[in-house]
Amino acid sequence: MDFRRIRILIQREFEDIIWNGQIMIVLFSALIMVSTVYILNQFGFNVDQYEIVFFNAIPSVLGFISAFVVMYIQGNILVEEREHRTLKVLQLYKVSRTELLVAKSTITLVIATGLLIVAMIVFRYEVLHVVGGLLFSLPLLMMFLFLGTFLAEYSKNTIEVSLYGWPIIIVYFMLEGVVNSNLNTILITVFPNFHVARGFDYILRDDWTTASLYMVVPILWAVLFYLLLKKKWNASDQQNM
Amino acid sequence: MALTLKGSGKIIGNKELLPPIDLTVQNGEVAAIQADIEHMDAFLSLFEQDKSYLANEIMYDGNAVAGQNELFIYSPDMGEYPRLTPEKMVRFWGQLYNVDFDTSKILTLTELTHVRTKKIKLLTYYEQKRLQFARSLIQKTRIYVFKEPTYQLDLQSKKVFNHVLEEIKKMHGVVILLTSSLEEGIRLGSKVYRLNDRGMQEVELDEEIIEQEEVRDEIPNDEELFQQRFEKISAKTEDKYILFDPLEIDYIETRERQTVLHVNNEEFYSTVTMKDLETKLLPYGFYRCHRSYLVNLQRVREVIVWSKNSYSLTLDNRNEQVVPLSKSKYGELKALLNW
Repeated sequence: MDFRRIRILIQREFEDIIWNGQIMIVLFSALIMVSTVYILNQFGFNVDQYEIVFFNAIPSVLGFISAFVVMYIQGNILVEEREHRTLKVLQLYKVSRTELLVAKSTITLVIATGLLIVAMIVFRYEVLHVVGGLLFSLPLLMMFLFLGTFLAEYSKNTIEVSLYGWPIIIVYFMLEGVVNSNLNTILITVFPNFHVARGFDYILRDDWTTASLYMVVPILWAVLFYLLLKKKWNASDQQNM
Repeated sequence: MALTLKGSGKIIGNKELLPPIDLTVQNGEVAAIQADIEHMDAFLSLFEQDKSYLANEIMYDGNAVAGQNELFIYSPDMGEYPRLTPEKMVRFWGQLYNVDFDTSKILTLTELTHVRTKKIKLLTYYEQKRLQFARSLIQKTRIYVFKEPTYQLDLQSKKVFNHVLEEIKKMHGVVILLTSSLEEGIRLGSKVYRLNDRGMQEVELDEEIIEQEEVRDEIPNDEELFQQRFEKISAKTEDKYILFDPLEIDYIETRERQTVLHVNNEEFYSTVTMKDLETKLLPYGFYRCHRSYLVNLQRVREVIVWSKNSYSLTLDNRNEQVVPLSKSKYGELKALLNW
């Protein structure tokens, strides 16, 4: 792996991304989402003695950033290399798949963590909670990073990334409603959303040990998607041989 | 110093996609290979697959070329980042190759100075192609492979490509140029080959051979020409012969030892030899502008001077077809047309 090449790729991507309308809309939507969640959480709504919670603050914002920002940006910026037929040129420069992936993932993660920090500051998190929250969010961010890469592998263009990506985003947010409901079943513990929501509660209570236990399931999901991605790469390599 | 290519061919299933190749290209030489798209892709894949390098099929100066990063490859299916500007794009390539160069010089050579800060997606098709040519001036290598570089290009961009080739020659680079058009191959190449199922055959371009053949052919004098009796030029299709009025024909070329009539942007195979056609059509204003080409001078609109050794004739028809003009014929045609 050549770090000089990775640095050049990152630099080019940043010069390019600021003019990328799709990515800018995603970032703008994420900022609107943070503001909306913040505003809605300032009001309490009661219907028949039940309190209506619109969004579970940071865990919901994290879900949005992971599913929408990370998966979408990663999928888009990777597939654009194929769509703009620049991948072949990069291969001629001996840019490896790993170097390209590291460069693109760095961009995506920098944007995602930036947004997350902004969100946590808006929600008045203390510095320690911001750092802890970022570390705790990492498995979920990685899970969607691999999912975005996986989508890019199967897509020919950005339209296909959206086409395959939206059902995933919708399912994730449907699950968000389920795990935050009063439904008491073991099945919901399988979903990463459940653990993210509980984990953040413990972070805010400074119970780091319990919070770290809630990282296990998201890590398993991240590993699962990485293995699926690896399998796809092996299949493509064999096809190209 | 030379590039030697000894490809063992390419067979997929029971189909031979590429026959065995044996090609040597000297430094500063442009080997133009005329082929159809399938053979072109199969040939290019020799440079793109690791197997060729592992089997030492590509040698330069007696040493095996290690991989495709040691050579420059241009293919029309390669793109650029649409939101970057030509200036940033050129700088990015330079950084990737880790070479220092004068960006302004590169952009001037490729005639992109006026759009240097314009986004690539806003450039014309021709400007985008010229930007791709710029890549060849950045990479420090000795082996350059171009696939269809001038396909559907305008005159200005073709001239830019000529300048790029001159620059590469100055650097003593070896150029392999794949083209579907024999005219382009003849115009750009110092040696021209045809690649088909039978393998690679060199197309004779030597001016001396042309002159010797001309002496041997001994075109009859004007009196004899007018005594000959003919009215139509015949071409054979599947089940019939078509008879063309001589003035309908735009130009005639020899392709794989067959005579092809170009009439109104269509091709017809004639049963008459090029030599006989030249004799018959001389009184109708046809001129043997190249060993393999006989052109209807009434159709010629432009004479393009690419360099002091390279000329073409542009025809005044719908597709503005281009026909090569030999170096030795340039002066003769100039006198004949009195321009």
